[in-house]
Amino acid sequence: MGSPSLCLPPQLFSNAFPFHLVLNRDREVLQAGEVLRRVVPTALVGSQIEEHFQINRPTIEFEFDAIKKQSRSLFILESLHNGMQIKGQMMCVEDQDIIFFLGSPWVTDTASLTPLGIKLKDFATHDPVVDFLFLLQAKNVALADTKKLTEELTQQQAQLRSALQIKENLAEIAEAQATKLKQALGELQRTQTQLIQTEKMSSLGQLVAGIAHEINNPVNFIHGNLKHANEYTQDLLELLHLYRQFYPNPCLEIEKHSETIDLAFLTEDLPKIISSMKLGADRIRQIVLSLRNFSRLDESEMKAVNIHEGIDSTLLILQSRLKAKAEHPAIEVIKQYGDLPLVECFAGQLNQVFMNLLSNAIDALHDYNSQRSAMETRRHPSRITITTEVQGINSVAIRIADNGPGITETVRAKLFDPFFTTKPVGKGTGLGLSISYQIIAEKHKGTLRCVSEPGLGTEFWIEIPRNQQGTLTELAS
Amino acid sequence: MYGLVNKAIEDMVCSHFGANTWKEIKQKANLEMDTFISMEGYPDDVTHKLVKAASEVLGLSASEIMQAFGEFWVTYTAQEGYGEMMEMSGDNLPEFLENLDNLHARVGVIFPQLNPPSFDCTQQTGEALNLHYHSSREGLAPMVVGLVKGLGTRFDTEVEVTQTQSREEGAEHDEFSIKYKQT
Repeated sequence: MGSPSLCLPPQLFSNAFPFHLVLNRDREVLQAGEVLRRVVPTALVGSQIEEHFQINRPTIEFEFDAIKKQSRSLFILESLHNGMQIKGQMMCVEDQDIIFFLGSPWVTDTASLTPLGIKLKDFATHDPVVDFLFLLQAKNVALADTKKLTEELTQQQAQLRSALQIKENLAEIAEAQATKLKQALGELQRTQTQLIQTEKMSSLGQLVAGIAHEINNPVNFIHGNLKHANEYTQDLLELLHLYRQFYPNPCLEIEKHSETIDLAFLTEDLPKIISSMKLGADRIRQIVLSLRNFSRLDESEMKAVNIHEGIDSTLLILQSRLKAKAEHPAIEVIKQYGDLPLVECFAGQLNQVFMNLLSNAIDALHDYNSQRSAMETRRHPSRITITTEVQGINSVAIRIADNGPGITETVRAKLFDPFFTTKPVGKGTGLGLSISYQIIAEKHKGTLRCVSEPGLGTEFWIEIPRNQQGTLTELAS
Repeated sequence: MYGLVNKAIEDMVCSHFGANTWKEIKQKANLEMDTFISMEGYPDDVTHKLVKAASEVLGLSASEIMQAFGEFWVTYTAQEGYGEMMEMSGDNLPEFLENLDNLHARVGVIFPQLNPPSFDCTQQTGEALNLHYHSSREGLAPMVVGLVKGLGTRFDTEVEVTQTQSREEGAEHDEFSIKYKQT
């Protein structure tokens, strides 16, 4: 291939380079592209180049030889009229001593063309600046898309976060409600238990109180009249003695009747009978008193009472179960009563606790005995020990211990749960201890606990404040 | 087809019928994507599905929709930042149509995956010309009708477009006879 020999005619050259310039050594503009001539406000051809442009790159002045030297440099000219930058190259035509500047405006967005008075169609068709602007536009659109998508994503993330938060809150609420519900259920169960027991105890109390009241009056007649009956009997026997003294030989009919009724035995036995009747009446009076003490229906308020009296009345009611019978041996009750002051309490309720604990102890011991040999039972007789003592400044402790089989850890954990029972079906309600716990813990602000190990017996500790008002004040402060 | 086209369909439906209708159309088209990225290439099938679903939901024929879309495309691209490029392509309808191929050639150079159509004008007189439309895609001829009408609006020119031959009917390419009168 030979060197190029053809060139564009000047008009086509001008079309191909609408922003070109031609300078001579004196820096006079000899020729300029059509568009460039249009956008420069004053006549370009024939004027000095430095009147219209400055060279931003490279850092040289408009000087023919200096420019000529930089023929391989990228030139950036800046219009002194509107700041338009034209990027291109300088080419020197040696034989004509002229320099061509070939380039086109350097813009990075289409919007900046308008202030310069240029339109895209002013660029030559081959000029990649147009495609470059297309590309930039596309990039901007893509960026706008990305920004929009990012915003959407951020928004969605926020929504998601808030939804998650809501979900978390809901879960918390649900959990809280479940806990509340569980508590409410527990409360309901306790209340139900209490109601059942209260109802039961109330009926039992009324029954006991009624019987005690009904028996009390006739027993009082008997007890009251026995004294007179005894005196009258003594008087009559005295009189009989006098008769026998002054009439040593009564008539045959009297002699015969005396023998028939065995007068000698009668006179000897009658005072004994009366004495025995008095003893019986006294016993009945005592039982009636215990029953009334136990039921304490009239005492719905707190009263200072003698705790030992309560325990004793309960023991009296349980007397028959403690005695030896064909099916089980006797249970010994050891009282280790301390010097207790009067204790402010709901006496009836506290008696109910003693009743529950003592009945349980008796049940456990009877059950234990039925599993032991007679010899073993004799060697280690069943025993219930009741200990009372003052604890600290304002508390009393009542301990009811048995030497029965003891309780396992598993059972002990559920001991105070309502409806928990180890007794056979029909025998226990599973309410006794839970009720007792409530009476001690809630009604008396005390504690009820169980100390037990298998084989070492069981001991229930009751601790209650002596003075409830004082405790309430303490609690309040 | 570039996402810009699908976005333009979305924009057209939303501006004429509301966002809920668009939602319905998108649901009916059963597309996997939720939004379109302008400069991302999507299978032509996506656009076809959208047009089909829009046709069902709006009760218009696919050709009516494509024609409306062609008209909309002219204003949409001008708004979306391609105004200067449109301007570059001509100051009146015949000049623009003459440059239409140029415009698409440039777009094709910049976005090689786009596979743009090509146009060419013949028998140009002062008030009529024949526009030849070559495309590897099918069913877009109605869009060209809309496009020319939209350009008529852009240049305040009364225009009458008649399809004189159709690829669907076996011709090598689609051809339109265009009569115009500057108002």
